[in-house]
Amino acid sequence: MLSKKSPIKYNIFIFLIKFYQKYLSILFGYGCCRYYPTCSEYALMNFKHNNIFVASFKTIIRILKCNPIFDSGFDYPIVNHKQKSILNTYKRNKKIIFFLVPINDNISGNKRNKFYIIKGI
Amino acid sequence: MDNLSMQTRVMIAAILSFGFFILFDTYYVQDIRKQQKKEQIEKKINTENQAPSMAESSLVAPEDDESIDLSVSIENDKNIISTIYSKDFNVYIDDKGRIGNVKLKGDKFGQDGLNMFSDDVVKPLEIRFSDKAINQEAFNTKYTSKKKTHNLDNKTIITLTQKLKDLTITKYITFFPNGSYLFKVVTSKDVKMFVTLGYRPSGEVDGFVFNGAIVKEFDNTLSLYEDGDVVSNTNFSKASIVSSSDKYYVHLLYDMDNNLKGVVSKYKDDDPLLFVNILNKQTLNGYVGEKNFKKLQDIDPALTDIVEYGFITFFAKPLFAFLIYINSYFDNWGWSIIILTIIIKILVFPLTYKGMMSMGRLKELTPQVKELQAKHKGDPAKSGAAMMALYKKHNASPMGGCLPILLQIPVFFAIYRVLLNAVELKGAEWTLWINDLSLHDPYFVLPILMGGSMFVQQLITPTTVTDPTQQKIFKFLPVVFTIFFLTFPAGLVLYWIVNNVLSIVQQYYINKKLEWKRMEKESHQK
Repeated sequence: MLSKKSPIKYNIFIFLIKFYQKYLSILFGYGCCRYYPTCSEYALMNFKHNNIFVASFKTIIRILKCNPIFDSGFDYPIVNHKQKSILNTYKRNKKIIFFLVPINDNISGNKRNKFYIIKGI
Repeated sequence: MDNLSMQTRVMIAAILSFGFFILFDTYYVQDIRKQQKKEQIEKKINTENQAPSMAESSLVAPEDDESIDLSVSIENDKNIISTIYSKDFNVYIDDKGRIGNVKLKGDKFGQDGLNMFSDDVVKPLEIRFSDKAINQEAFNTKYTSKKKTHNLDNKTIITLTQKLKDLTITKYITFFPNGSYLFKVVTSKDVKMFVTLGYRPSGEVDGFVFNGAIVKEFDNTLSLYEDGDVVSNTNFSKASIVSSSDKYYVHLLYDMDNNLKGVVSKYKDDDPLLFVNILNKQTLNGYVGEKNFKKLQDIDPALTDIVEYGFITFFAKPLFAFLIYINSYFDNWGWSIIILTIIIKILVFPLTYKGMMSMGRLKELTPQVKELQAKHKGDPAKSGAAMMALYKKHNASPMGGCLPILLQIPVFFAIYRVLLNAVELKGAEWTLWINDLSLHDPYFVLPILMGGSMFVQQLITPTTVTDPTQQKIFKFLPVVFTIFFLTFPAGLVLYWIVNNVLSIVQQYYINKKLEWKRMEKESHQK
């Protein structure tokens, strides 16, 4: 179970994406993605940390960009958090699930700041 | 996740995706229909509020279940009073003044021809009256025909008469060789009456496609009433075309100048049965026969709207129009499908080419990739990140991307629907042993060729998948696909084969080109 303080969301989209990753990705696009993290992983992170509309929008843009016309490479999901310290990890079973890496240098306590989400590996 | 063997998971994946394919189509269509029905009911309420007199005068009677006494007409005697013989079809008129049956003739309908309608149902062009007494009397009174046989060359007019106590009904049906007809009713005094479209044809019923009634409104919206889903009667007042059809055959009435009013009523098994309000001396247009795109287009281009492909219609319809255009040059649906596939492949080539070229560069990185994978064994996330860094460094994008893959799905889906639905493919020969593209290959050669071509394609395509288990699964996929394609229409399997073969050719060319480049580079260095 996730702790109540955790900002991680859970909804039908997350279920569907996980379902796709587990059962369907092998048929359609396994290993076809041009980015890291892959489109499905990017979508999953977005739906976990952003609201549905932002997450949907970002996912659609990402998939549209995932073709040979655009550059490939690293593209981490971005999230807004009201975060005081620079590195704050959510822990479960003492394993780091993800890192929030601030995009801007000037972190102020009261404003919402932009962070990259990087999955713990 | 690891409890299931990889093979089992591939099987599950395959079954789920194909199931999804079919279910999504079925339910999406249903949703559209339900929504449209709701809108219609709202519309009806509005018109009733605004102009009650009009609503009353137009449509009260058929809503009254008793006035549509279905039981009476079901006791079906096949007493044919008149027959029309034409080159392509026979029309039998029974003593209730209806189209008792239509027999389609031609090679693809077999030696005895194909009867479009089944026996114990309401037949097309039956007249119902709002006045119950007249209605009952009409059911018990036989029609008479002036002539017993008609030979149809250019056009032929059938005159049918029914004499009731205080009412004489005369039906004039003018048939044309293309299956279209004009229908006119003259009564000795004005009475309120309805003509039925009849129960839908039952020449070829297939659960995968749409069977039922379609009402096209003047504002070009289509309302679909699928078999088994009509739970209550629904009125329509601004229709231009009403049709009832199975997979391949259709009967329709239309009037492009005046609004058709009527009701979609609930028939046995919740199937739809349509009634159209017809006035004294009013002429309606009709068509009965195969749901052939070209034939319908020649009669009136608007009629092609009743060829329904589910939610993908917006894309499938132009695709099919294009296929017909190709076929007008080749006159062989098999070759036309091949040409269509080649054209689609050429159109998406620029998108795949760039990806494939950079993918080839990946091959040169394989030793380093393997090294990285050994380093991060059992940790896909870590090795994924490390590999991405490697690709970035060498300016090689690993794959074509998710978008091209996603785009392929609707294209395949549209082709699947078109080839499944098209009566044009029925009895269409291609070459050698394939003599019906709408049925599965009798010797299963095409599905096996499909699996083979898929296997070769995988063999020749460089991939980022280097994990041994996953490689095994990839090798296993052609087998799964072959099994699924065994019962698919030959035309569809043909599309898939051609698509694979073209991918192989494309990949071979790119592999060669990359090789030349490398050799050139090496010779430069020397």
